[in-house]
Amino acid sequence: MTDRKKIVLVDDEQVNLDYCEAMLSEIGDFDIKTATNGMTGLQLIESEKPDLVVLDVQMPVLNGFQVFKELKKNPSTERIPVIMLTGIASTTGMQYNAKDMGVTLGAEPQAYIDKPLDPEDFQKKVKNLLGL
Amino acid sequence: MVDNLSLEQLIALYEIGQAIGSQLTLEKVLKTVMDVATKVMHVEASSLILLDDQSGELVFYIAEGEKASRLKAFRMQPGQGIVGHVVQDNEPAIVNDAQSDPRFFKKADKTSGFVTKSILCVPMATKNKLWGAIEVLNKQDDADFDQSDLIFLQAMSKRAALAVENAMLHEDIVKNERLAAVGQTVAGLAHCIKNVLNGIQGGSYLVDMGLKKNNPTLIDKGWTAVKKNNTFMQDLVLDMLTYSKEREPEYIDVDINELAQTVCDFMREKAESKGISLSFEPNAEIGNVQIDGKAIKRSLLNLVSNAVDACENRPDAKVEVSLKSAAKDFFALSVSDNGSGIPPEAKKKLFQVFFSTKGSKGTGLGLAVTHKIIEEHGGRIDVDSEVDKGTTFTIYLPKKKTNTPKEEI
Repeated sequence: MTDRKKIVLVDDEQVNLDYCEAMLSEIGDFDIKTATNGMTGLQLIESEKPDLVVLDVQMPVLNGFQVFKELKKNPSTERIPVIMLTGIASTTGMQYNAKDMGVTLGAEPQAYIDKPLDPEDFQKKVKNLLGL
Repeated sequence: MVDNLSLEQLIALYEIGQAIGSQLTLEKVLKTVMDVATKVMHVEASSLILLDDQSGELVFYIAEGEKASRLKAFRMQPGQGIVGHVVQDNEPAIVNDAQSDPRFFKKADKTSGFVTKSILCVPMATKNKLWGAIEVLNKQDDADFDQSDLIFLQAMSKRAALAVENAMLHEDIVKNERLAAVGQTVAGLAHCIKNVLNGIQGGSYLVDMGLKKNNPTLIDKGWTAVKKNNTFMQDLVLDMLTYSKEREPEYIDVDINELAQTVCDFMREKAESKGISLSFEPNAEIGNVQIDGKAIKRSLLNLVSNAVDACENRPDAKVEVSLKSAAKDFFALSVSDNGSGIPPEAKKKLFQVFFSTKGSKGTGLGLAVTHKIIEEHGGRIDVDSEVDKGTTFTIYLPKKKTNTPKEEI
């Protein structure tokens, strides 16, 4: 029981949370917690100290980059690996760009996954980051 | 140089300056230059030739005088004819016996049916670039071209070159702005579509998994997501079409109280499922109005839907819609909420296309489309908002199809 890895999913669309949970259920038995906006997501991560965070970029209240920046500021959350889910078609031609959203990141997330999510890619990245 | 010019020539140069400074198109400005040159220099014909950067060919852009129309768009190879040499060497040429000059290109005369006797041709260049040349042909009374003609034509040519350079710079700016706007639109659309695709893909995945595991709850969740994203895509396409087309409202007589009531009834279930009260205060004094019923219904639906989203998860959340008469025979439809409010930096971008604070729930088109619909009616939309207190959007619309300027409301 103690080996169950804890994952926090933060996305403002319920279907995306369900989709991620479904994909995760195929590769392991995880303790999954969810939040539907950046602010409640941040509070959840700070209280749960999960093994992995999956963060959507475009969310109301706090966007994914802002949440990520807050996590890096806090010594108790700064080492938690983060996967960012992006749907941003940036004007600079990149798939994702914090600067376009007015956020200067000190560090980069461990992985980016572009939407629509490819289940194999998502599952592979989760396994890698959790050392499975 | 001025000392060498006649009063007639100085007036001509002034006229050209005026034409260049006006809002005329490049073709009109250059035509004026050549008209004036033909008249003031007492010649039978004149041409303005542009250098095609890519092919190096010389293209007759303006041709004035008898039979000149046949020369329009006539092309010459680099170095061909007297004009070709002038451009190649960037030096003027006075040729008073054209037919016996070995450089003379007879095909131009054959094409136009004109007989060239004498030519004065000068390069048309700015400090940075050689744009082509201008030439005048056959001085009246068979007189020769002389140094004073050359000085005057060079002065004309400098002005024409500046007009061409200005036009090209302007064209570059417009082109770059258009490309940037297209890029931003495509990026905004791509973002919306990616979110929709993710929703459809996620929904399908849940349906598949539900079928495999014989789990109706998963199938239901997945299928609901697919349908929701289908509706989202339909709205996105409709908003895009409304936003991209200039259109006249389709005015009909509409009971505005009934329209607002219908919108509120439609949204009530969604609002109440989130613990938000939604009310409408009708106004019997305002009867039928002349508006595009469908478009205004969509605008109001956008505003009420935004208000409901802004109130989500807030205590005692409420959205109030009201209807009042306004000055100048206008009416005012207000949508107030006690939600999160709009931060000042977001307020500036509120009606900007693809701007959204709603994460993946918003297309960033709703308010842009609403704003456009209201403007098309000759109306106005006002926003009053305070962070953490709430927001009121007020639409002012004429009760009847009218031309009253919206600034006077």
